[in-house]
Amino acid sequence: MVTINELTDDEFLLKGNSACAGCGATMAIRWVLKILGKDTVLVMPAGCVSVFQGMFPASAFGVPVVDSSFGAQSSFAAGLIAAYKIKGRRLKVVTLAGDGGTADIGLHAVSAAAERGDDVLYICYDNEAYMNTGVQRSSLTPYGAKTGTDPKGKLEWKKNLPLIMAAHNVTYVATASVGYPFDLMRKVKKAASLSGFRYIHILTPCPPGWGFSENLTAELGRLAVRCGIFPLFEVEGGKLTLHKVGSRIPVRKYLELQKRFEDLTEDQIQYIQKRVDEDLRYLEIIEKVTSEVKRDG
Amino acid sequence: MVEQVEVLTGNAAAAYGVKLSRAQVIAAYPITPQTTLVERIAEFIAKGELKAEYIKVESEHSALAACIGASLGGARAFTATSAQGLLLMQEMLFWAGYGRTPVVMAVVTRAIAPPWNMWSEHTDALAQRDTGWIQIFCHNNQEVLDTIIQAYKISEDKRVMLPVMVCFDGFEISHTAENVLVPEQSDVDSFLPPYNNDLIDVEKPKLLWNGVYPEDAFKFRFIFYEAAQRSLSVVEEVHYDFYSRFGRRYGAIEIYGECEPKVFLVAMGSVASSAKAAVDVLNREGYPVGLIRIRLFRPFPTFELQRAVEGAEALVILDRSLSFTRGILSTEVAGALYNAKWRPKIFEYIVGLGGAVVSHKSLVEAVKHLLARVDEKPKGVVWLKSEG
Amino acid sequence: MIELRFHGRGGQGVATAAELFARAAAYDGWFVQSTPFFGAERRGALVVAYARASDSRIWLREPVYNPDILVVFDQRALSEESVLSGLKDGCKILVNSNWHPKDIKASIDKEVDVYTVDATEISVKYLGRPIINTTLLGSLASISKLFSLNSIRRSILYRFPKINIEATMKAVEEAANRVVDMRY
Repeated sequence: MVTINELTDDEFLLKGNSACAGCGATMAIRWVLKILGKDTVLVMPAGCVSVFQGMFPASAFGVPVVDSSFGAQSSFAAGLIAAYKIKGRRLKVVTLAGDGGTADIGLHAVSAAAERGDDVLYICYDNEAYMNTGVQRSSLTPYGAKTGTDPKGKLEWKKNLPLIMAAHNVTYVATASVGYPFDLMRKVKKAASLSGFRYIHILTPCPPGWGFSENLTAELGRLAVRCGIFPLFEVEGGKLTLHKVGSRIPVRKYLELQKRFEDLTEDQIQYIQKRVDEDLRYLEIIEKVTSEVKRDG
Repeated sequence: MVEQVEVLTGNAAAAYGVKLSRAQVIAAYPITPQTTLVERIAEFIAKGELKAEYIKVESEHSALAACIGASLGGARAFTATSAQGLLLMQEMLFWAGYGRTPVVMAVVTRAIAPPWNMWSEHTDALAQRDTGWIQIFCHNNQEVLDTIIQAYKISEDKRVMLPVMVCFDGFEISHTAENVLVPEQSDVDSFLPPYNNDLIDVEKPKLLWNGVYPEDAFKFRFIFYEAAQRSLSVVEEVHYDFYSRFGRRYGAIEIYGECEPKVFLVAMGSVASSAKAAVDVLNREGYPVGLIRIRLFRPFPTFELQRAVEGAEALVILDRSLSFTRGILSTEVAGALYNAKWRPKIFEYIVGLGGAVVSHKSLVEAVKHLLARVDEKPKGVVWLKSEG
Repeated sequence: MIELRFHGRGGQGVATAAELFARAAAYDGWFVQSTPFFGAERRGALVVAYARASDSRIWLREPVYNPDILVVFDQRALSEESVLSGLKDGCKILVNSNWHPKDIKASIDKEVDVYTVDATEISVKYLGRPIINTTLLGSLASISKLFSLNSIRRSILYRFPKINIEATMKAVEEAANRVVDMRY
């Protein structure tokens, strides 16, 4: 449990960064760093965060940051972790990357880090496309969303990266949303207290990329969870735990607020509703089955 | 033939070139400053104006790998990238070169990290000069559109069968809009017939690219070498053919200036464009300075360059690249002139690295400064700081 | 050659304005060039775009250092050093503002010609929203005499095929007629 009283007043994501108004990633990162605190080194590849952190000589972060090439962040981090191990240095290494850098170009290195059980906290901020370079689709772009490289809407379903990471049998996997900051912070606190490969996947809505007004970021973060399109769950010791938040609402209520979905046909919306329902049921089944798992880690 | 006047950015011009060339498989991964190029192609496909398969690959290494696969399947393939992406696909660059797959790639040149920098430098493309690709540098948007079309004709020629890199500066060209004449599809079709090369034959099955012992390997490399040698004359043929149909003349090099130059600037890409503006000013003020623009970088036009510099006192090489302690263009020029009958002095300048502005005024100043000391011995590499 | 520089904030369509101008001028027979500023644009940050029109092909690949025409989308930007940098005598400055140009000229230390037009008000009147970039083109046409209103129409339609062109052109025309000259 994390309460507002125990949160530090220190800020580690500083004002004056050049993020867009209403950026979901800034919200997530600010809370993550408040929990992690000063003794953290961030390793990040190219992406929105590596751009809005500022141009030389400014840095928007109150912690040390290493910029890596796109896709190699987990390997840069692996080297850093190994060096700290040999030299007995105690610093939290946190890899912070977007959906493109994690699910696409970086997947080989992220998978390898997970398989090795690298002692790292991996945070994926998911704005569901390559936003830094304009708006191009990634494998985590949802079905039907318009992007520059899918002008008629993506035809493939969003890749389930959190489950892929869970299949690596790592210490801890969780999904979180900027619509529920205290849930997010609880998960970060839990992950920080563990060792081995820990993965947190955060939905970070993007006003220019998704096509909504800057004041609705948190609201969309909530609606995504409540309509089931982005379920909140944790996987630890082989057990999956699903969090239901309030009563379910139709996916339509979420989709209609975003310009990237404005060309969806009625059939497509119903298809999305059907698939979302099925995916949730799938998670419920996994939850039930894995509740019987006994593992010593 | 009615060409349509458009105002297009370099990236849009490239996309039109790809559309007119009827490329059939596009596999690309987004990277600034290439993104608007591939987005425009995606738009053409979505609107039905280009019939092609667009593979949404997860990295540049896969982008080129997919193009190589497409080419084997007999399709005309295209990809585009910059800096880090180009570096990431380097293993595949050699694969397409030595493997002799005629793929065309647009390289929107960009500074290599670290540090992160989206603006232009030529090092990314020039660092690939060993990979077996033909490399052409464009200095304005019309040239970009025209060169993409020519690139397919060159690469698919049976005497060549080598991939072609069409290079142009990020932002100065890719994102700058200019007047461009867009040819008619039917005229491009008569210039560039469909790609017909089916390697995979179930009646006569063969193994492609498996292991070789040294003696055979040596022979394969020689076959590649012969194709690379032949490519220069094919480039010239294609230039002439293009000129006879579309009226626009291109050569391996271009000489620009209003006089008998004592001194030549030597440059490529957007630097050459700025250099033209500088030469205009210098000629107006009575200075005998010209420009040799290198358009074809691989194969390097040794012969043409040797002829062009005859009688000149000095060359001022404007290098937008760096290989350790020397510009890459300078190394190539010096190498090409080593055995020449006439060898002018070479003054080497590093300009515009990291996207620093190469203003025409700074070039004019530099040349005037140099002309005052042109009788001195060159003192090594000079870094030209350019200000407005 | 005429060189133009456009200043405004991210999200106001500054780069698009330069592009629309260039295309319109090209339709009227000019060789043109237009470039956005190549920085990481974020909504609300100051941005700049350049354009050139010439009777011969343009070889320059650099920012506009000494504009012949300066177009300012947001009056408050005039207090930024970068906006007035390189200003020369005779430069024409067009500002989106409801002030009289004399009052703006007062704080500029060069022999420049200032023009104002309330593009915000005009665009809200016809388009319901402050879409000032297309509107300002009307005033730019009057001041520069480089292109016709018909070319603006073609240029806008090419870029925004689904736009309400009639309403947009009303705003453009009014902006062309209502631009205030410093001398009157």
